[in-house]
Amino acid sequence: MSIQVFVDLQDTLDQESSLFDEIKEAIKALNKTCRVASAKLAKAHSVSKSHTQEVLDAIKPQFAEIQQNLGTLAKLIKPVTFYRYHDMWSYAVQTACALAVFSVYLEHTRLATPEDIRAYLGFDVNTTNQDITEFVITLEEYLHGVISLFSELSRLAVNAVIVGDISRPQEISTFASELYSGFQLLNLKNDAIRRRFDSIKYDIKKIEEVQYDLRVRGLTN
Amino acid sequence: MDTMDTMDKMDTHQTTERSTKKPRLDNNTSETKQAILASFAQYRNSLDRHYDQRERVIKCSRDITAQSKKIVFALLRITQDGRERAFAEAHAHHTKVLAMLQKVSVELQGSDAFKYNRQVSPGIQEYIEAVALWGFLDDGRLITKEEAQRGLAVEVTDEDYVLGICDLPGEVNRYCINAIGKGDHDAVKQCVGFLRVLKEGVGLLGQGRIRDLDKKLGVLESSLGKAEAAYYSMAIRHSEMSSAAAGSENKPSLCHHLEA
Repeated sequence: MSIQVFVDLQDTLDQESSLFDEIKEAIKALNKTCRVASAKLAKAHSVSKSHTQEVLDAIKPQFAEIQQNLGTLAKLIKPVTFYRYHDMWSYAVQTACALAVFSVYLEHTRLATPEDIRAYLGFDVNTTNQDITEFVITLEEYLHGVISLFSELSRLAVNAVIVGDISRPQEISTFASELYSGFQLLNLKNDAIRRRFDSIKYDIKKIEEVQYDLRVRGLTN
Repeated sequence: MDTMDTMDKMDTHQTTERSTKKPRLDNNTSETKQAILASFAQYRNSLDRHYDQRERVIKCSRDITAQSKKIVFALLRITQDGRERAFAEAHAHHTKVLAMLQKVSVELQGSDAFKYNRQVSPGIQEYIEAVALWGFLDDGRLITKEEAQRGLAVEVTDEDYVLGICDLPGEVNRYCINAIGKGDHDAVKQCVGFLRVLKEGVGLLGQGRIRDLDKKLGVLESSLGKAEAAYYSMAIRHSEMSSAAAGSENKPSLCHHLEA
């Protein structure tokens, strides 16, 4: 018996290493773009609703770049080994989804559909969880992105009041509770989505508090 | 939930009010709560299917682990039952494991193979460990990944193979201790030699690339330590008794026992 088995094995592992590095490089670029986009999009919190469109226009180049970043990543991944490396980029894609979901909300005051995600990020959401035949955004990544919207909404409710818009918190509250009732339909297992789902109630509570403050002062009817 | 109920009532009011304000969104299906509920019902079905499938893979993996352990125990009885009987029993269990792997392979088609790899991996590792022990007892060699893959409906990844092999020392050690009990000098020597090569080989693999490998490498080293210690005490007893036997002819039976 000799150690040749292990020498050969290390060779195959080494061959995979270069792919690993390329994937990491692509994710790094994606993360960088997302950080810029996130910083730009955060301005939506400090402007009134009428100026939101300017914020959204300013972020357009970043979404184009995210599409490119994802395209670079997608080229590296064979469908059959998609889930072998999936953990590496899942968080970055969740962030990208969250950006798209928040943008769609700001623009249309509605939930971003998988079709919206495709329009913003350039890739399909695998809503049916079917066998992977090309690079996709997973259903879980999309849902993570949607859950992220709740914390943005609770911030937005507070910040709307700051910029003097006292009707917006009501609109936000309505939307948040509609969306929450959607999440309540899911039979979540004890995983990451479940943990984040459990934190949604704090965001809803915050939004309700804003409404309470406005109503108790007779600012809304 | 009182607040949520009140909010729900307000929702209906608010939604209609908003729809009239923004008619351009009227034909948008996600605008209403109903639309959200409809899409989330679909997501629930997708997620449920995924969770169920994952659950089935975990169950199969557990069955494969249990059945593979039976192979290992059957093989370890080699010192009492002899090769023929031990291998025959192992073979019977092996057939059952292959059927189980065939069953789980249905869940691991296409991209699902890697999707549920983490769930099926423990079972596959245990299986690799069992057939590797078999290979070692049969001809003293380390089974290759290709040999382990033979006849298997499920793809063995490099990680599964390495981690399965890394569980081997514990079993080889048991066999080694049994062999000492039987005074099988050659078997002990073979075990120690095998564990040494295994340690060198696994040591060659890049650290950090394979999950849990570092932990298992520690176990490997302690197994080798135990086997060497056992070999050492056997050797020292052997020379002690040889010299005692040379000094006097009083204990021939003991010496005979060790040399056999």
